[in-house]
Order: sequence, then structure tokens, then C-alpha cells
Amino acid sequence: MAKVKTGVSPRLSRMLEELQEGIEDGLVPAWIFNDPELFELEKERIFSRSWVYLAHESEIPKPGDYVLRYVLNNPYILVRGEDGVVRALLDMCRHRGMRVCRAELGNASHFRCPFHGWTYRNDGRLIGVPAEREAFGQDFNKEEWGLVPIPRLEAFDGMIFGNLDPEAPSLEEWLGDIRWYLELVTKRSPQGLEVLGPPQRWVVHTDWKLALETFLSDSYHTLMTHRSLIELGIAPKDAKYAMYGEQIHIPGKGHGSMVVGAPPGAKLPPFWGYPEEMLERARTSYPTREQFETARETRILLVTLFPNFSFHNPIRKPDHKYQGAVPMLTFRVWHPLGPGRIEIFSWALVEKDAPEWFKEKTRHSYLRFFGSSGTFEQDDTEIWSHVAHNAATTQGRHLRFNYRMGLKLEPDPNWPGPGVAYGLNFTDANMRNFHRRYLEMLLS
Amino acid sequence: MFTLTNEFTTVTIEKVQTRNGERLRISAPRMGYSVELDPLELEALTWQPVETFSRLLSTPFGPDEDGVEARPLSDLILFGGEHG
Repeated sequence: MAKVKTGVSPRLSRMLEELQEGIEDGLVPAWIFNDPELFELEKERIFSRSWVYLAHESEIPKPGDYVLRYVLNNPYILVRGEDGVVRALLDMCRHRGMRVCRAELGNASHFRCPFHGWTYRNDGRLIGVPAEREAFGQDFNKEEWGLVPIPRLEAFDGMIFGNLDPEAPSLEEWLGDIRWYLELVTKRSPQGLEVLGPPQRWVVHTDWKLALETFLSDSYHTLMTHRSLIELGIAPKDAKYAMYGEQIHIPGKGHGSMVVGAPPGAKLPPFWGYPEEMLERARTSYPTREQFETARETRILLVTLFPNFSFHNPIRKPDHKYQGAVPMLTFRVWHPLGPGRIEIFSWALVEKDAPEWFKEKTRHSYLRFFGSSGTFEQDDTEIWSHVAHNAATTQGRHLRFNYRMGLKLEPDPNWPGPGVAYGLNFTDANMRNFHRRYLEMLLS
Repeated sequence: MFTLTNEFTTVTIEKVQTRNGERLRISAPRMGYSVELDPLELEALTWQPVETFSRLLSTPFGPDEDGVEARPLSDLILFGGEHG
């Protein structure tokens, strides 16, 4: 692994060496979860060079549909032009820098700046300047003053990502083998997914990595953090239910997945409990037989992409009286606002061709358990904020956390999917893989 | 009558009866402009590309007045006159 390089202060350099030395031994220093100087380095070396999830294409299906999305503190108008092409345009007037669009979503053919009225078509071109001739003369060239597009914009199965680095590898290369696991939801139906409304958004006083780790690898927390839901009969009776699955990481990429089956003896319907007709469609919709057979045994699926996107697709019940199971799917972005501060963007999604009754039930399942009103969500965010607080205390910041779970596990040779899989989901393997990639990017 | 609104403006739209026919009145209350279009004009709108509307919006606050010469204020300031 690379040595800590120039461009990093001696203080940060020493601290990163501590992380580098500890990671293979399963030791991670607390301070990395709340440090202003490290956050500045993360902005420059992680978030200015990574593919960041912006939106699902079903959020902007028609010409003129737009949503505002953020990479670091940069606001982008993600808009479908009259020509049908999706663009991400920096929401900053080229004249004096005002936001030309202040609504978080809407439909517009043109954007008119509220400062001096410069007006842009939804493909970014500047087309109108008040008193153009008097103010800027005859030879003013509007073509030079369009809205600035994001350096890179690419999509995978309807998932739209942006990258601030013009030299970044392609999205396909960035994702690598994690695509197999993404496809377990994106290709479950030939019609693909659609969002159920706009994202819920809220601010949490925690570090983006703490939130991410929970969804990437921490099957172990469910038995305590979410115990009240087990007591209510909403989560499976066996408190170790999330242990019965495979944990898979993609070496060198930082991505990972958890594929959880039914606890031994538990009677849970196959294929997450999706309706039978959806199971039948999936049979021919998945690219490979291995993906279909894996999906049939899955009850909970999580996928996390480096650096800050996760989805969670668990079997649930919309309420305690409901007989039967209703799975839900949430996409989320752990958007970094500052050291120890994030904004969560959380969407509910469902297959476009799912039955209407099911769409309504899955939306209830989502609202009950995830999103700003969700019980599981509130359990998690409360804990994440206290850990981030302790990570910045004068005494606590020097402690090293235990990432040794599953350190001696051997990979499962029979797992049908790509990546390195472990047959027991109680392991920190995905987190250790994430931190290797994290360090690699910070140091290069 | 109904209104159509986005972040940038609001327009009201209504069908108006003339003595022998009908038109669609589109009004922009904030700008103070209004236009009454007949079916043939409206039909012509249906084949306009976005470029047409971009051209119309090249003066984002309504038409610039032609032939108005912007004179320096100093032209109007008189020295040596009755107040000189």
C-alpha cells in the first residue's frame, strides 16, 4: 500500500499511518469519524473523484422534468432536455453566480435567473439577456456563457451518477463486479424500477462513513439496536436473523453486499415475499440463472457502493396485523455536509410493473420502517450521532475500534456470484475492504 | 380559467368568446402582457421547436423597445443656464 504522501499535513499524515497500520489487524481509530482536517481531504480526494449517485431516471421521465442534486456543496440541476437527453447543470448563473433554479424539483423548458434575468434553455444554453445590446454590445457571444455541465454523467440501469473528475474511469469500470448484485434489484423485472415519490431528506449529526458501514457490513447491530422491533414481532424472532447470509466484497473497489436468507426453521416466503407473478417475471428477466436462484433464496439484500450510496431491500410487514410479508426497497445517499454532519436522501422504489395493491403496501412498509418516520431508521441515527460525538472527544478520539469480527473466516468457495464471499454474515470483512479502498484514494 | 405555475412565473389561461367565435387568452399578470390566440395560431404552436420559444425568451422580460436611444445623463445636465 502507498505511503502517506505529500499534500497532507504532518498531523494528518501521522493519523492516516495509524489507520493504515491498523486495518489489516482489524483496528480503526475513532478520530476518522469526526475530524475537520480529514473531512477537507475527503472532499478533495474522495468526493471530487468518485461516482456519486444523483437520481433514478424515473424521477425525471418527461422533457423539462428536473430535480436538484448535490455533489459536495455543488448544486446541480438534473434535467431532461426537450431533446430527451439528461444533463446535470451547475445551478449557478454565469453572470454573477446566483442560483437560477431554487425549487428542488419541477418542470421547466427555460431557467430565468432571479438576479438580472439571464435566461437559459434546459439544455444549458444561454438564450436570453435583458437589454443585451445596450448592456453588452453587438458582439456579445451567448454561446460562451451557458450553464456549466457536471464533468461526467453516466447511468447504470436507470441509476444516474455524476463525477467531478473529468479523468475518472467509466461508471461501468468503477462499479465492476458489484453490478451482479445491483442487478438483483434493477433486473428483477423487465420494466425496471420506479421511485415512489421524491426523496425524504433530513440532517443527522454523524459521519457519512458510520452510516455507510451499517448498510455495508454491520449485520451484527440488528440484535441490539433493533431489538424493540424483534420484541414487537416485526423483525424475525431469532435476534441473530441477519447472521444467516453471505457477506461479499469487491476487492479494490470498496463496494459490498449482504445477502441474507431465512433463519433456520423460520417460515419466510421465498424471493423476499414478492408476489408470485413477480417471481415468475424474474425467472426470465435476470441475466443469469445464478442470479435468479440467489434471488429466490434471498429475504434481505443490501448493496453499498463506494463512497456513499446504499440500498436496502428487506422482507417486512406493513403493520403487525397484516397476515403475510411485504418487502420494501429503499435507495439512500449519505450526503456529507461537514465533519460529523450528513444529510440523508432516502427514496422508496418498486418495480414499475408490480401490482397496484402491492405498490401501496410496499410504500407503507417503507414509511413504517425507513425514511424520516421509520422505526429502524430512528434506532440507527440516534446511535450514529453518539458515536460521531465520541469520535471527536479529547479522550475518545484516540481509541481504536474493533473491526476484527470474522478476521479468520475463510471465503465460501461455493458462492455463485462474483467477489469474495463469506458464508457467515457476522463479519467486518466488507468494512475492512472499504477502508482499504478509502485509504488508497486518500493517499493517491 | 386556470393557472399554470412553475418556479419562474405564473400565467392564467381562459377561453374567451367573441361575437362569432372563440379564442384562448393567455395572461401573464406579473408582466402585464396578454395575448388572445385563435385555433389556427394555436395549431401553429404545436409544430414549433424549442428554438422558437428560446428566441421569444431572448428578451426575458418582454420586448425591448426599438428606437429608444440611451442618452448619457450628462446630456441632460445643463451648466450655465438659469440655475448656473
